[in-house]
Amino acid sequence: MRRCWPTFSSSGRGWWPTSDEKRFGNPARPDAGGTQGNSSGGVTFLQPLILFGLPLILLPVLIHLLNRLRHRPQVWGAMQFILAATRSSVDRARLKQFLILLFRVLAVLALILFLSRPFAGGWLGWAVSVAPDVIFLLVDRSASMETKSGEGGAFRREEVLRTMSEAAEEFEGTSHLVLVDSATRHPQTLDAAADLLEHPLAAATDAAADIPSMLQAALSWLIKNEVGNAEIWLGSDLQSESWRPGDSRWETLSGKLQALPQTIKIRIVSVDRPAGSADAQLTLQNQVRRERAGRREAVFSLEINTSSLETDVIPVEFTLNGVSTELQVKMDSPQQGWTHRTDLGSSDSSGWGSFALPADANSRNNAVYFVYGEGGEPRASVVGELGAVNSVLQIAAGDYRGEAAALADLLPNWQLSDLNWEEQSLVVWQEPLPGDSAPELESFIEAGGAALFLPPHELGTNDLAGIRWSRIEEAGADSLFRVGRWDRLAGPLSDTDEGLGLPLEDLLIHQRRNLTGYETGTGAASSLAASFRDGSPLLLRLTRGRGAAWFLTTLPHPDWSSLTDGDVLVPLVQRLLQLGTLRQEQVAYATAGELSPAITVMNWEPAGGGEKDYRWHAGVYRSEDHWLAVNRSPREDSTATVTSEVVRRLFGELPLAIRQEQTDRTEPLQGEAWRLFLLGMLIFLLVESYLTMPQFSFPKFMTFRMAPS
Amino acid sequence: MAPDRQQSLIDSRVVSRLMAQPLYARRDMEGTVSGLHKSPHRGSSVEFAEYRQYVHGDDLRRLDWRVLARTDRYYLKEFEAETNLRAYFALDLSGSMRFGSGEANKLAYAQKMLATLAWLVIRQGDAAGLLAIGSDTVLDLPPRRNPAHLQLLLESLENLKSGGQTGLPSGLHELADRIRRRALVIVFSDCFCDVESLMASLRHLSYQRHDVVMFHLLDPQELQFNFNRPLRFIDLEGQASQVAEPSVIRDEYLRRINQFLETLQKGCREFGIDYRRVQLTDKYETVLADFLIERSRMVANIR
Repeated sequence: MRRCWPTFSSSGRGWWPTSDEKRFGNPARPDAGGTQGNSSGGVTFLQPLILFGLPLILLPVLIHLLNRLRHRPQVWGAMQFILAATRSSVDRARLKQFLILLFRVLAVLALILFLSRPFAGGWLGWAVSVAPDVIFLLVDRSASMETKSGEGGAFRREEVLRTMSEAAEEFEGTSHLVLVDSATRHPQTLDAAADLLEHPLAAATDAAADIPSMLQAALSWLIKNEVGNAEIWLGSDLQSESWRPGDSRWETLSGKLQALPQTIKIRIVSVDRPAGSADAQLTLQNQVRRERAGRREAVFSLEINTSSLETDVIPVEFTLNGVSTELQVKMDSPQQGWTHRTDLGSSDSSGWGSFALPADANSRNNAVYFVYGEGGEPRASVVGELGAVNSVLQIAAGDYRGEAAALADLLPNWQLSDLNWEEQSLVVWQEPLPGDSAPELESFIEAGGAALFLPPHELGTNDLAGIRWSRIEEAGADSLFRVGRWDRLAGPLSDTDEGLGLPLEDLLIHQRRNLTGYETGTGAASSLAASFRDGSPLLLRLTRGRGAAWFLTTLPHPDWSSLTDGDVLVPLVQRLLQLGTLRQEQVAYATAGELSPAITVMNWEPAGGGEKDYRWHAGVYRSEDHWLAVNRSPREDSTATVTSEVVRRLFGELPLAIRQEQTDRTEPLQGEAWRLFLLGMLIFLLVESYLTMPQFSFPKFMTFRMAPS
Repeated sequence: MAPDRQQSLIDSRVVSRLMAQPLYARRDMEGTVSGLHKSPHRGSSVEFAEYRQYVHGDDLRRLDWRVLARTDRYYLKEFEAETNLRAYFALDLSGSMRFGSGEANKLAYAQKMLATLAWLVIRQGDAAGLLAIGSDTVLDLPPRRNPAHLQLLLESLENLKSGGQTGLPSGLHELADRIRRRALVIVFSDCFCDVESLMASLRHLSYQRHDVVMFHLLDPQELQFNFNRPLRFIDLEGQASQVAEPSVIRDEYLRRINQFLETLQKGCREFGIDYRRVQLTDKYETVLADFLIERSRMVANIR
């Protein structure tokens, strides 16, 4: 029991409070109970008895006074000049003497404080603190935390664990350590700080982190257990997608934490150093399975995003049902998409596979997994307000697999509740955005369905993830809106199997309805699939859960555009229909950490053997005849981070300290502050030495003129 | 000529090297016997001075018969008178003369110089006297020419002790008032007194047409002030002491002592006083040799 307050001793059984003390605080500690709220300025010392030596700071003064009595005598003849010079220089001499004494006193003070081993936060501003009753260790174990920092550095998560463990070790006897990981968000008590390093709930995952939810878990634990002071140590890479600064929960959280009767302090361990080497991310944009001439084939649209284009060709390991081959992907730009087709044979109806990049700074974002099986029935519904448009859309979204074509269903808005969403693949929506009035539609999208939104006649007030329709723009007679760019490699407007591009350049567009909120509101979740020459979107993709919402900014109507010709509209809508049909197959896709309850009731085993938890780790899992492909959360691919200013704003008035790795990499999170005092002592001694040097003299501007005495 | 008793003050090797160079006065001396030095009066030396018309009573042996034969006029041919000098050695015995950072202090250094010069003066037939000035006049030996007097002078010199306040200005005033005939006055002092008073006394001597030489003795430590730790300075001329930080007062100290030296030197130059600053690290033999040689050149130029 080393830690104690300078003026008291511990109870002898540790600092963990009894049930009474939990409620009222430990009476033996000045930082507990009702008085602890204002005690953030207190100092904790490991050797408090040494503080009784504080009067020793007067030693230099005493020595100085004694020395004045026993200066070395020097007989002197030219005394008249000594006396005159002394009279002239007495003010400067006194000032210098005072400064020398001051720095000697400070040096002794720093020495005593250094020997008494003050215990404090590792960074300035938190140099002194009291031991809290509870320390929450909030560990972001998302995929982005598996990036290696710096040259040959450790993984960000390991760096966080090491830093937290070292700091928490000093609190083992005094504070309760509670681990809250980003995957489960269930508070777990730790017996020892060292357990954190090997704790299974601190291991790497492919799941996304949700910082507000982690804080909410800590808050709930605090309220439930009625403990005293608490500190929340949060280790994170400040990834914006994990912090979700726009989330409305932040305001509530910071308010509730501040309103707690006990003092809550936040410490952020930010591992924000850039990756030490290049990092490439592989994402599966979409997957289409189709049948041709009695043989099945799968078409994958993939994309590689690399932080630096170091090589022209990147080898990609393609695995299909356990058999691996190597693909060579030519990199023309840091963001390279490509389409891969593979023959699935004629008999095998289901299977699994993966694409994987070579190991780099973050191996967690190098692989994507897929499964395939018997397809579901494509089924589209059109919800529209313009008859002419509805007809075109019904045709475009029809099912043409059989001999007889089947038009898409048309149903009015008020009949949405009657719709069987489970059977739906695509919903074409040409009405004002539904907002909260149609929660089934949003669930449908997040479950993997596809939704195509077209400009409504009326603007409406709702939005979807911040995206909303804007005013209608009409082109002049001589200057129609022209399509400038679109994604020809992947997505619903990509080139055909034969390599022919869709005739988007030939589209004649007279009117369009602009979109707002897609630039900033959704971050990396939205992307332009096609845009006009002025940069405005023609087709915008908004990723929601496993599915996506697509926004087309013009209508298949003669007054609006030439989409009624069908050569662009039909492939677009049919491809969206195929995307939406994927969810009905005998296979399931899931995002690590975001599995639906229906999936979790099944017993999933890794398809390739080994021991992996399908809830947190990407991979392919099998449960009898069902296949499950779990991929990392797309949120983890985002490289956007929140700044320390944003973090401070999120926590409001709560005491907050941020240890940013880029500027403060070597400083421990929490530990003894002896270095600070040792350094101070050295500085004081150096200054004192400089002042006592014979060559020292005050600057000219400090020349004093003796006042007549 | 240097008895054993004088061995501590007179180095035979030094005097043997210096004896070849006589000590001349820059000004006319009024001695009692003939000697090496120019007198303000006409005399019978071989040094021609001027022609003068005969007046009644003049010694006919000094008539220039050649001029009389040519011009039929009576002219006397006059020659320079050469006499001996009387040297007064004034030694400052104030406490500050005890200071010396090296082997010898200022007093010991002055004693050696004074003894050597006295030996040279008496050896060349001139008279040497000693005036030791402490807070008041401690010793006053009038100038004599005989070797026995030198013995007395050296014995007295060796027994002198320094201490107390300086009375150099008043001592020099007293000397100026006392000696009527022109003489050579050589002062050995560190001059640590009121510079105006000192200059007044030197001026007094100069007005009396004495040839005044000032050997200003200084210790290098007094000029450089190279101390690096706080010291308690104890006054050699009194009981006063002062704790001071040399690093703090050094600049001011040097400024003031340099100002003092400049004032002193300028005043001496103004009143024709032969001012010679001597540091204790200088060899006194060299100092004296320079002094004698410069005097010879000076006198040669005048003549």
